Amino acid sequence: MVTRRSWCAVALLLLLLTPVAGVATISGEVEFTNLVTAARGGTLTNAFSPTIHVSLASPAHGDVRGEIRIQVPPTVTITDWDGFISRSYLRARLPHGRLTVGKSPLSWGDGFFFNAAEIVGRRFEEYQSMAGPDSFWLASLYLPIGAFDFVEVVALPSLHTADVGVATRLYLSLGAFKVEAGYGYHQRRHTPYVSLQGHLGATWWLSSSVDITGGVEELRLSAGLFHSFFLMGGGTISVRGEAMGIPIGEKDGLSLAIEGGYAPDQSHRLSLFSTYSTEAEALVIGTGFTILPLEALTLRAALSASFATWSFEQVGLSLSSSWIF
Amino acid sequence: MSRNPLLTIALVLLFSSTCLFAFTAEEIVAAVDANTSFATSHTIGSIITVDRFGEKTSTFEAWSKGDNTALIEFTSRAERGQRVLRTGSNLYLYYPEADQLIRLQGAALRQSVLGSDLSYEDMTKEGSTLASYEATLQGEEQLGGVRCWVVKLVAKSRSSAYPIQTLWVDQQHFLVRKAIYATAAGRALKELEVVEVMEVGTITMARESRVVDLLKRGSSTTMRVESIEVDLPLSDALFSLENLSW
Repeated sequence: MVTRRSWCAVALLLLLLTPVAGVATISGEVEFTNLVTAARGGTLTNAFSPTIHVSLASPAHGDVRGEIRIQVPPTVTITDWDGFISRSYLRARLPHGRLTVGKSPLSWGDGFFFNAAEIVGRRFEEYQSMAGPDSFWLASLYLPIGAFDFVEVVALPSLHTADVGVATRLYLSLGAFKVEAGYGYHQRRHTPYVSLQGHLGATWWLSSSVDITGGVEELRLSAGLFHSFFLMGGGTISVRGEAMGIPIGEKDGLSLAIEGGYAPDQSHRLSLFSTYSTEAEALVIGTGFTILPLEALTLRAALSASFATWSFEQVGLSLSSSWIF
Repeated sequence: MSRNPLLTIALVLLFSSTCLFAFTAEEIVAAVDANTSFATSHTIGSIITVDRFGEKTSTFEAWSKGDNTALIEFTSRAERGQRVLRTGSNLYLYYPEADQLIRLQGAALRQSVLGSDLSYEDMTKEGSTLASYEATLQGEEQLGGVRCWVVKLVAKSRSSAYPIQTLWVDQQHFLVRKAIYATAAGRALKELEVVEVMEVGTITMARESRVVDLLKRGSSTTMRVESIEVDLPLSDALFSLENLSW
């Protein structure tokens, strides 16, 4: 069980990071989002969701650092204290590596919409933070191999049982390529993965992972392309296309996503996006507009329409503002 | 950004007296590079971006070692903790929010830094100028009371961000006072102007430079150096992925 140990870790972090020590930085973000949806039958719904998170972090220099982040409300309706903590970790440099213990984000592989190499987030759902899908209670050992290559070994204790999952990855910068190869183990399920990223006119990436429990339970393949163009008249156009196929597994099918963005200057960005999944026969088409009128203030508007089996399902308009302090 | 400091001093002394003899464009550009390059440096500065909404200030701390190794950490609140590491042709970004390492290549290097008129390529300039450009001396001009050589640079490779550059080089300090960056067809893209200079040891360098994107109306980026330490001991470990994601 992690709970008691976690409380100790949080208490220790608070002691270490308290502003009384004069070294911690307090920062945070306030966000207000209002979503209006209209369903096929004409039903209108409105949801307003304010969120705030406050972080207390030590400086990112030296050999020991830590961070604690409280988020209100948690992303799911729970009463568990863990839901309010999205970060809570200590990190220490060792003679030949570094150790991270606590609740920390973890991001493996490449992909904005789909990422077959994200084996930790996919296979350790019950371990992950309830307040942030990217944060996990973990103990992580980072072992550099030269300046641009490293090995990472992660142990993920369960919040609810005495079970522990493990995962590891090798990260190599090989000339024009970045290669990741990793492996995860949890409840007798083995999940090896490999991920490759490079540049050939556009930036591309390919990932594959397979779940093995006796036989092959699931095979995932994902691929992506990203390119940006600089217009002579000013502004930037960026295009991103991604796909993920699951040829073997319960959720077999193909998912596609494309996003195009136009930024005429540093304060505006217009985007168009679409995703399609053969498994659910679900199509989403949308557009978004972002403005940064003031330093640390962002305003966003997004309009999207979703279709299931080629029939209209609902349309949604989201307006949000966020301010970093 | 490295050069032998003795060579720098020798070049500046040699060139700065009274121009007893003519200089070639290559000698001028080599002296400019030497004058703006240090074995190591630690800089604290700011990027002030002006657009139709007003002014935004981003602050940063940067370390450099050698010709093509640099680490930049943004310290302003909106982008606190974001880091950029460049060594050789490798450029990595680190976003602390997602604990994510992103490797940039190709056209992505020309993406705007924090929405400014500077690209990642501009901020982490790689190698010597003469390795990438052919230089020709166009003449001399008076620029704000400062006598300058006008040097034209033409890129050797089609992959250069700015195929043609025109530099106005201060004849006394071997400092680029003004530069115009253009396409291969000669269309001006950006203009740089040194607003304020500072002395660092025996070297005069830009404290404040203003970059205007000539393709955008009403926008400019000012880069200001608040403090700089040069030739200080810096560990190689500073320029590693481990430190980038610390």
